[in-house]
Formats: sequence, C-alpha cells, structure tokens
Amino acid sequence: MTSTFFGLNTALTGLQAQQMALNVTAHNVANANTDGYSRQEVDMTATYPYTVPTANRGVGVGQIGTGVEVENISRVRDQFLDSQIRTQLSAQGSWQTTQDYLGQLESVFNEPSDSGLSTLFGTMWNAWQDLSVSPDSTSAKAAVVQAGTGLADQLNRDASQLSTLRDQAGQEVGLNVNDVNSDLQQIAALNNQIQKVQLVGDQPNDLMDKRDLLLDQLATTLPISYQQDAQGQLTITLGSQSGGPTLVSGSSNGSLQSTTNADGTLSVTMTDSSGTAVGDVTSSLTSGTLGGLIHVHDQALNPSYTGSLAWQLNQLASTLITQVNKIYDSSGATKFFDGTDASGISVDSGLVNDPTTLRSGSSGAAGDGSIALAVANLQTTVVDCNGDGQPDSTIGDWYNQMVTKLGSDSQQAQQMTTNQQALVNQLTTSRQSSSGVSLDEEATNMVRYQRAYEASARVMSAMDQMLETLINSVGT
Amino acid sequence: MRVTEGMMAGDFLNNLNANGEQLINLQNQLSTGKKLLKPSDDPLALGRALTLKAASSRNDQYLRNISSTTDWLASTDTALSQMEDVVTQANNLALQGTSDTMDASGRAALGQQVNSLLEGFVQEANSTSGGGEYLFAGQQVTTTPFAATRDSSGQITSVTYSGDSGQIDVNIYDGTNVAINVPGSQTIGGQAPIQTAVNALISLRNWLNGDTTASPSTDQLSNSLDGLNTLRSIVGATTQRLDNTQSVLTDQSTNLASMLSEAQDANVAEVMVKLTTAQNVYQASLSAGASIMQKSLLDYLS
Repeated sequence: MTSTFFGLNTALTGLQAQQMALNVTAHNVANANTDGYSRQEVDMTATYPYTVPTANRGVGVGQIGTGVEVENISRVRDQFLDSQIRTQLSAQGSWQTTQDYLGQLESVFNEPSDSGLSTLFGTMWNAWQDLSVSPDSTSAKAAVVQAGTGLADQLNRDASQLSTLRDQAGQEVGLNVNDVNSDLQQIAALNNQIQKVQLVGDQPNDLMDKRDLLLDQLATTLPISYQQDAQGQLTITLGSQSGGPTLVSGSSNGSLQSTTNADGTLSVTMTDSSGTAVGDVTSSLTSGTLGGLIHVHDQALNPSYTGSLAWQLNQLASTLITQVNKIYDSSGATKFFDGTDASGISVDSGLVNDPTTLRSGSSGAAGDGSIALAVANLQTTVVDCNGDGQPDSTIGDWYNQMVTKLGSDSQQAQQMTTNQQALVNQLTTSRQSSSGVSLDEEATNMVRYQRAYEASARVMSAMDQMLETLINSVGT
Repeated sequence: MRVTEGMMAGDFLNNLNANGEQLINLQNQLSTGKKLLKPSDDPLALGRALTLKAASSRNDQYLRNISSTTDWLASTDTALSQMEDVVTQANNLALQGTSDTMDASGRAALGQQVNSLLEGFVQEANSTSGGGEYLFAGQQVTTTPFAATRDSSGQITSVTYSGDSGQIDVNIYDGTNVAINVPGSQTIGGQAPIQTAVNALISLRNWLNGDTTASPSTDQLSNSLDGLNTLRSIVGATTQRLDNTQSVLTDQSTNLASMLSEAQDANVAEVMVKLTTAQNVYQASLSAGASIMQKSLLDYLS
C-alpha cells in the first residue's frame, strides 16, 4: 500500500519536468537566430515504479508509477551532415579566394575597353605608321613618344597593381594563420571544458555547438579530418585524409606559422599538438582559403613562376622592349624603350625631353621612314614572346591569349564557386532542417508543456482537497 | 521535411541574391550595350574581340596611310605629265630648228622658247607635294633635287641631281609596303629620263643659239619622252593598286565592325525580354518572402 501523500510527489515531478521542458523551450526560442546553435530536446522518462515485493502481498493492481524525470537534455545534430559540409566548405574556401583575386585581376586589365592595353598598343603602332608616312614631322614624332609613354605607363600601373594584390594575398595568409591558431586554441580549451562537464554527467550542448562552429570556420581555411572519442574529445588532423599531423588532441593544440622563403614564395610550417615541429605542410593545403591564397601568391601573381599572369605581363613588356629597340637602332647606341620588365618600362628620357631626336629612318634623310615602318610592322610579326629563343606569336596575340586565359580561369573559378556554394547551401539547409529552431514547433511545445504543467498542478490541488477531507472531516 | 525559420530566411536570401545578380547583369548589358563586360563573361569571344579590334585599328590606319599618299601620287603624276608636255613641245621646236629653211635668227628665237621650256621643266622637276616635300628627291625630301648652275646671263648651264635613290615606302596592308615616290635618279632603259631631258634641252637651246659644239639632241628628247611615259605609268599603276587596296580595306572595315559587334554587343531586344522576366521573378520572390515570413503559429495562439 502506498502512502497517503504518494500522489502529491508524483504530481510534483510532473510540475518540475514540464517546467524544465518550458525552460528548454525558452532557451531554444532565445537562440532561434544564434549562429551554429542546434535545437535542444528534453528527454523525459517515467521514474522507477513503486513495488512492494513481499510474499504475502494480496492480488491487486501492479506497480504504481512514481512520476516523471528529465533524463537528458540533448541537442539535435547530424554528425554525418557536419562532416559533409566541412569537406565542401574547404573546397569552397579555395575557389572563393581564387575567384576574388581573379575578379580583381580582370578589373586591373580592364578588357575589353577603350582604355585597356590592347587599345594603347593599337595607338602606339598607329603612331609609328603615321610617322612612317611623314618621317620628318615633329608632331608625328611627338605622337609616337606620347603613345609609347602611355603604353609604358599602363604597363607600369598593371605591374604595380599585380604586385599590390600579391602583397595583399601574402598579408591575408598571415591573418588566416592567426585565425587558425586562435581557432585551434579555442577548440582545445572547449575540449577541456566539455570533458569536465561530461565527467559530472551533464550534456555540454552549448559548448559543443560552439566547437562545431569553430570547426566549420577551420574547415573553410584548411582541409581537416577529425574524430570524436567517447568522452566527447575531438582530435583534429591536417589534410582531407586521416593520418595527417595532429592539430588538436584533447586539451592541447598545435599551431601554424607562415614564413617567407628566400625566393619570395610563402611556406606554412606546423608544430603539432605535442609540440613537435612537423616542418613544411604547404603541400597539404590542397583546399581551403589558406591554400587558395598561397596558390594566388606563389603562382598566379608570382613573376618568377613561368606561365603565371605576372610572368606573362613581364614577358610582354620585355619582348616589346627588345624587339622595338632592336629595330629602332640595331647598333644599340640609342634606345626607344628603357627598362627590362613591365614595372620598369619607360620611353627613353632623351626622347621624352626632345621628341625631334626620334629616329624615323636609318639614313637620317628627311623622307626616310624605314625605322618607323619596321617598328609598325612589328605588330604583325611573329616574335619570341615566351623567352625560349623561338618565335611563337605576335606581341598582340601574346597579350590576347594572356587576357583570354585570365578570363577562362576566372570563369572556371566563378562556376566552381557557384557550384560549391549551391552544395554548401543545400547541405546547410538540410542541417537547418534537422538542427534549426522552428518557432512553430516551439510554440506547439510551449502549449503542450504549459497544459501539462497546469494539469499536474490540478492533480495536486485535487489531492489537497482529498487530504483536507481526510484530515478535517474524518473522525471529528 | 522539418521546415524551420532559419531555412526559410536562408533560402529566401540565397534565391533573392541569385535573382538580383541576374537582374544586375542584364541591367549592365542594357546600359552599356555590350554583352562582353569582362574577360570571364566569355573568354572565347573576348579573344576574338581583341583580335578583331586590333585588325580593325590596323585597317583604319592602312586606309589613313593610303589616303595620305593620294596627294603625293597625284602631284607626281601632274608634274610628270607637264614634263612630257615640255619635252614634246621642245621636240617640235627641234624639228623646226633642224629644218634647212630656218636661218640663224629664227633658230635664236626658237632657242629663247626652248630656254623658257627648260626653266619650266626644271621647275616641274623640283615640284613639291602639298606638304612642301620635293617629289623627285628620293628620301632627301627637303633638298632641292635638281639644282641649276647658271652663267652670268642667268641661263642654266647645267643641272645636277642632289637627291638620292631612296624609296619612300608606305605600309598599305599587313607586311605589304608600296614605294610611292619616283626618285629623280631612277633609270629607265639605262638612263634617268629627267636628267636626260634636262641635258637634251640645254644642248638643244645651245645648238639653236649657234653653239656648234652642241647638238639638237632629238634622239635624247624622244628617249626621255619614252622614259617619262614609263615613269608616269609606274605612278599610275601604283595609284591603281592603292585604289584597289583602299576599296578592299573599306569593305574589310565594314566586315570587321560587324564581326566585332557580333562578338561583344548585346542583342538589346533579347536582353530586354530577359530583363522583364528577371524583374518579374525578382518581384515575385520578394512578395512570396514577405507574405510567408510574417506569419507563425504565435499569431494564432492567444
């Protein structure tokens, strides 16, 4: 037989559990717009039933329930989706970076337009043509010097913008490395806290959400693999395949450092979570923002990297300088262009100061425009642009294919970014679908818990009236 | 599927951005009239457009080169034809002078005429283009090509060529140059027609004036007339060639312009239709978002 006051306690557990559930609803609603938050659920379970295990117990009703308890507050999270999202985030990170930089490069070259290099080249060739028709004309000579200066200035500007962009990429590498190190530290600290909370037997839902958010950030910057042990401790390794050097293990974290090599390229070195120097890990950065930035810095914008855009621009300028000067004065005594590359090209200062000294013809006769004519004909002459000593294309075609390649690279980066973005969006939507807070659902739960709370309270007041009858009315 | 506010807001924003991007692209195409705004819009078309632009700029320059030679060639032709006239007249005078019926005073009168013909001839040989450059001086366009030496009475005793044999080349097509000048030293059949004519005229005048060491030089006169004729036909052929090239280049310019437009210009009608569709989609997504996102269950719970 149960005690007279038995039911009061059962109702009390009901009140407590529903109140707890309402608190969790409140937490969910409060965090409806928090980044990385996963909705939490209250796992309610019936408490252990009351039985009186004696041999002479009469046949009667069975076990009596003793109420409800909140067993666990769990977060709803799909770990499989998380790992898919992180793989795609890495790929998106590198494409997005590439797209950003190529997009800026496209605006540097500003083609097709009336102010791009192609137009300035045309202006210069035409000025030489005009000079060939009137070799003695001072205004035609001044026009050639003017057009040459305009072209050289634009090449200087393009080269300097390329080098500014390259510096910017280098700085971004440093910033990204700092971000990664800070993320690694925070993840290690969270690992530590999560372990402590779990030891007490609680679920560190919100700490895990924070750690998952950091992991998303980290995956955007680097390719990572990770696994979680039974204590909720996360081990993170570098590289999309497991087995790479350890970035975080338990409460200790490794770190990255960026270094500039003697040839101006960048390397990322790593110290693993046990404090051992791993050395150069640049080749492991196959995806992620950091890898993308290093690629931009060391390849696309590196003038020493054969085939890069910066290299092509320098080849363009140096071919122009060599070929024009060779025709301008085969003895080499005077020059039309000074300098050796895109950043240094300029029209010889003597000519700028006094355009009348420009050589139109080799004989010096007033009607001899042979030099001007030969320089003008250079625009349709196949010359050595790639520096291998063999003629390969005209100067104009070299520039065209350089800009066309930039265009197709940029187009590819845009398409890949769009595709990756679509994938990430779709996966994020799936994640939102399972982990996101639905206000309609919370409102429904609120009504549910509120009603259950009211009902428990009603049971309690019924019991109270019952006891009142028993105590005040019986035996008086 | 479980649908949350976060999904609705996220998807709405993604789609709205995509629609907005489409809209701004079309708007840019319409306001610039070009479908090719940056290399990545269509790298292949860009390569084509740059090549066509360079070709079109070269073409225009060739046309400018050709038209700048028109005046030169016309002046050369006029000067040569005047010289021919002079030589023809001198030839007639020589025929009169060599007639047995002519006496010394008659010959002297003819000598006077020949002298003025000689002056006229030298003047033509030293004629200039509209730009003040000597036509027959080779590349020495600022030097008087046929400098005359005169005696005390002012008569021309000899004329020496002080130009050179340099050609003035003009680029009329990719890698094709045309010499537009006739240097005074140019020889036809082993002799320079202008110089020969001058020498013959001097000799004829002297002979008519009674110089017995001189000859009427009728052979030289007719030779130089043939030579001048040949020079004129060379100039004519060059003019013809330039005219032909000019009409070819003009046709090409039109073709290049239409190909360039094909490669980079937007089809306004097509863009307009696309823009209207994009606008409708954009507005529809705005109104859908606005009406769906406002309501939740909370509006209906009291």
